[in-house]
Amino acid sequence: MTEPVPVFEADIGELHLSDGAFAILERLARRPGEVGDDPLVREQAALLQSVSAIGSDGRFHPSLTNTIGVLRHPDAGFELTNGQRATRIWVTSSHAALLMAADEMCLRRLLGLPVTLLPEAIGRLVDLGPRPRPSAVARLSLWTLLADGVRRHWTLAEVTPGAHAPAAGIEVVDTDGGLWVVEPGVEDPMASASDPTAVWRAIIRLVRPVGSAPS
Amino acid sequence: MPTGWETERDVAGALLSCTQPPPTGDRPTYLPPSILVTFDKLPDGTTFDSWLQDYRQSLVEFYDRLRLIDTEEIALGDVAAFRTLSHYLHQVVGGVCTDQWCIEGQRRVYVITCSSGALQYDDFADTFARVASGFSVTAR
Repeated sequence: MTEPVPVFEADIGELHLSDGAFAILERLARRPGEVGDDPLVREQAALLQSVSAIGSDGRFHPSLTNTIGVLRHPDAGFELTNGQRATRIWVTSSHAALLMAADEMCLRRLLGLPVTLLPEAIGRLVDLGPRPRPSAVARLSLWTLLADGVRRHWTLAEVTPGAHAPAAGIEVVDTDGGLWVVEPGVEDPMASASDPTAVWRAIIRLVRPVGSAPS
Repeated sequence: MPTGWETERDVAGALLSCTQPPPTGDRPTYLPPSILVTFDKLPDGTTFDSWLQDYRQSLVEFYDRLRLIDTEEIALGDVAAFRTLSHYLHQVVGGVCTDQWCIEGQRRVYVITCSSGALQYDDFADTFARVASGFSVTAR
């Protein structure tokens, strides 16, 4: 299968690339200039050069500087799973990088942004906004909840390299009747009635870099 | 108002302005949290609901990339209030959260606007709610 050619929007520092190209980009971010003799690496690096994401001198385009900086030394990583779509997120004290779910061309959008805008970016991806407060029942079985009127079911989890389970996270079921937060449980997980403010605060607590909280 | 915050009355069109002083010697890298109390007279023929509708539209026009996170009809004491949590882009500090309570009283709408950097919102949300819940309109 032919490797899709990346698309680079230099003016806004966004790159649309395949999983294979991203793997090489991440590797080059951590070990700049180390293309080596591996033909697969050379092919992907050449594709990134063909769209000017990488210059002939091996340096990344200036508009990618912050994004590459986050990929080089992330302080934390997260995965946002929204139905079948997964977005990977990396964070430093100043910036965040997001690798969106693949589009119909099998390209994933890589973008960087100031870390202060990350909660909003996540909120946009999960369509967090005003919802009715669930009434009457405060807790439900997750399976009961999923059987009826679900708009979205998403999870934001911290990903620690080498760990088998997420370090921390939040799982939300967005229904016509309001938001529910899933309580971790193996056999029969329960969901508690929640609201957009509580979910927004949970997102902030999860993704904010250490040291961003006032003393 | 929170202890230690700098409070000013009748300043720049606001009844009350209250801001947490930045840490001594440090240039703040986030928007210092603040609480602002303003009021608007309800024009004749205008209801609280229609005022709210216009007000929400003005927020969208005023703030850059405003995103509504939550809205809530609540009671502050025996007075009905409307709460709005939103996020907007500040050109210097980036993401900002604004928690607002609009309260009708004596043909006026009082607006309590509580703002903080987006990443600091969780630290101040309870303080903001406590301040709003202590607000009351007293006839003179």
